[in-house]
Amino acid sequence: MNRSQMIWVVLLLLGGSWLAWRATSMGAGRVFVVEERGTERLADGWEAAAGHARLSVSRTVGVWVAAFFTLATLSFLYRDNPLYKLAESVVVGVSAAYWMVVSFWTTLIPNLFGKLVPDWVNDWAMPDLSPVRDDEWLGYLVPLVLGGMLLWRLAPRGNWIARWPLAFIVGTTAGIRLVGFIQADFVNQVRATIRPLVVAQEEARARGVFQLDVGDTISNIMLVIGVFACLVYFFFSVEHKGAVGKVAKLGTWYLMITFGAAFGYTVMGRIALLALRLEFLFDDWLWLIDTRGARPPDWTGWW
Amino acid sequence: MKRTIPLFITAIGGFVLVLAVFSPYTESWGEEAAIWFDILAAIAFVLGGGNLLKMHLKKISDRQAGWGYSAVTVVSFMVMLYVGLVKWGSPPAANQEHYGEVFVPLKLDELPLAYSAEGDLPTPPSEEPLPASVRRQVSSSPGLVRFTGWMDASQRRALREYHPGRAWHAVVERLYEQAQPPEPVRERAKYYADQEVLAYQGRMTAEARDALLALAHTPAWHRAVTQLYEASQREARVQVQAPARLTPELLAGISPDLAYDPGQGQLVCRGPMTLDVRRRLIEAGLPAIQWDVARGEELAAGLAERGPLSTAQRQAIEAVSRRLAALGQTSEAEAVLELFRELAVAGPLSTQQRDFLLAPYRASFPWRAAVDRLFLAVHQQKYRWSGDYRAEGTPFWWLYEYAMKPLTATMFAMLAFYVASAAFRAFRAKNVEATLLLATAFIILLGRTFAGQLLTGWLPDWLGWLRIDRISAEIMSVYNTAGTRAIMIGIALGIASTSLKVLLGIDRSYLGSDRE
Repeated sequence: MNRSQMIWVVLLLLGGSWLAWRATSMGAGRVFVVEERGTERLADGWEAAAGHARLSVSRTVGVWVAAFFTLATLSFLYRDNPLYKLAESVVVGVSAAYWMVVSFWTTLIPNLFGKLVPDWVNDWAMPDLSPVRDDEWLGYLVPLVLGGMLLWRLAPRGNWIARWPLAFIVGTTAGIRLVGFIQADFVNQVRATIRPLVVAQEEARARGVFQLDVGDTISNIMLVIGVFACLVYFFFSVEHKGAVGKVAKLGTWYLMITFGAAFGYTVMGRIALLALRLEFLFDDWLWLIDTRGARPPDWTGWW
Repeated sequence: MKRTIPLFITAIGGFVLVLAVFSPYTESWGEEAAIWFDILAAIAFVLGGGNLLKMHLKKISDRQAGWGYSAVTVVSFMVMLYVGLVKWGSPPAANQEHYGEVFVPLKLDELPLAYSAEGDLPTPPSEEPLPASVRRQVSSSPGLVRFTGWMDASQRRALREYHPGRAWHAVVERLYEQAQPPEPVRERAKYYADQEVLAYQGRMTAEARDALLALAHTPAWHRAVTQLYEASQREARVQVQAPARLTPELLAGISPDLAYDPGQGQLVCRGPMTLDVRRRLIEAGLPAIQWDVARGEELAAGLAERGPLSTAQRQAIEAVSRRLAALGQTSEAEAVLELFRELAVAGPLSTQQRDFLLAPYRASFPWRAAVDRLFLAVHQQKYRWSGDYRAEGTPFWWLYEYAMKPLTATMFAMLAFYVASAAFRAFRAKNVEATLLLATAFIILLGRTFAGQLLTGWLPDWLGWLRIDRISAEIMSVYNTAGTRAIMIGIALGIASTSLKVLLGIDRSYLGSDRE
């Protein structure tokens, strides 16, 4: 064992001992539940301290598992390692299955089988679904067949069969986006840019007097100029020289401000996520902090 | 066939959706195509899962490098898929369980209760078929309209709304008057045509059973009523110490099917229990009290006898007492829990003080739990699979909550480090553009945090426009909006042209090569 390995082993042993101490003496990472009408409801430390809630073994194990996965993922910051790979493998497996299950219960059952065989679906899964078939139920054989053809991609031969459903997906996506983007992102954005370049103060206007609202006027002018300049920058059919070049240059400045703002927001979003993970580790797992006031202050979890 | 038909499908699918926007007649086509798209997108997830499985199983079978991780992926995939598809541990949907009722299956065509009224089934102006809620129960022949089963108020309303004609409304009213359970069971007996079940609320008496049996003499009806009668007689007992105020009269007032056996110390219920009875029974054991300041003082004295009570704790008792007294009637258990929260925050409590304070709260648990157990014991489960697959406490929820969520959230959170590190390496104010980007990011970050307020919050009002939060808001509403808007217009034009190229068959890249 070399020096580096030795240091790691010592660090891990110390960390593990400290965790064991936190868990046994302080009750850290424990989750409590209350049973109501045959189901479990998450309880806070107050209910547990009052003696009402009981310890949930599965949820307590869950908090420790979640903490392990969080630390395993963060370990990638040091370098790629088996723990990170393990976490990565788990997330790939559970995510794929999660979305399969979601699509099965939220789309395939109500929208496909619920249309084709509503009485069967009504009988076991959705008692609130009418067992009467719609008049157009036969039409749902089309997505069923197309779906079967899509799954043909898993077969070693005849991959071209999957092109038919793929063509439908591409076609409908194109159709939805063609209209959707023209409406929402083109027409509406152009409409929103058509603003008055001279803005009167509302109060003065109500009195029948014209008084310039300097702030709004400048903002509107800068906005209209900005949209125009950015669009000129994106217009590559004309060489960016002379006046066009100057306007395009102004457009790049606007775009740089936009990218700067987007960058700022992205960083903030990620840091907020990181803060949530740290909160989970220090609050829910280790009980070092209590951000939600979920536990009595002098409670060790063992009253 | 390999390329031409897909091109046609693409064009038809896309143009139908485009047409649906312009023509009201084709609007429903668009909706239908959108549902088909959703179905195919859902099946694409199945394809994705299948591909993942195929790829990783091959890796395991070939013993390729890292096959152990593939095994972990396969196992986690299979476990998550299984527990999600079978809804393992998911309780039935509360709104589908018809608490307080018992069910027995009875096919609609075996139901001998048919009522008729003279009249004709009209064709509504919209030419729509009969509402789904009554379609199976209504039939007609020239001059006669028939209704099978008992009609409830919502079905009556649906039928009336089917056609505005007064003659039709008269037919509906005549049918509604006839198609009702007999008087002794009017409010309790039901027939759910969609589920094809005969239902009864509460415990069925022998008189009620005889009244139902007298309605028809077919074997199926006789069997259904007899089974319903037997199902409604289910008796359950739970061991519990009844609260002192729970008299037989009080119990009978809540429901005649409830009783307390003092000899055995058991609470007894015969027949299914409704949610209302359950609530009233719990409340009967946990009476509401009127809190007053004197009660608070009494409590403070009791606590002081059992250990030290700080001034802050005494003040907390006073404050909570005043608040509770202002509320009027309140549950003693809840009031005590609220006091406990305030007191524990105000200072430490000894074990004796805690036990004394929480005694009424703790006394309420066994009663609540017993009523819950009794409620479930007499309940007949109707639809085991009707629950939410993501219900809290299920293995599927567990895997999502404690594996998928922390893993994905931490992976995204890690980007904070990489973004910061990339920014540190790449950001240099070398020219105007880079300076603008850097300064904007800096201002936005500061403007949305306390640091921004701290740095420039002291500026006087006439220099208010220099405050970082104001500058940040101005950047977002004017400069950022201008840039984003231009980008969005560009994207919209790009997507529109790309979509047109796809629909017109100019762009065929999605079809792949002709090799197969």
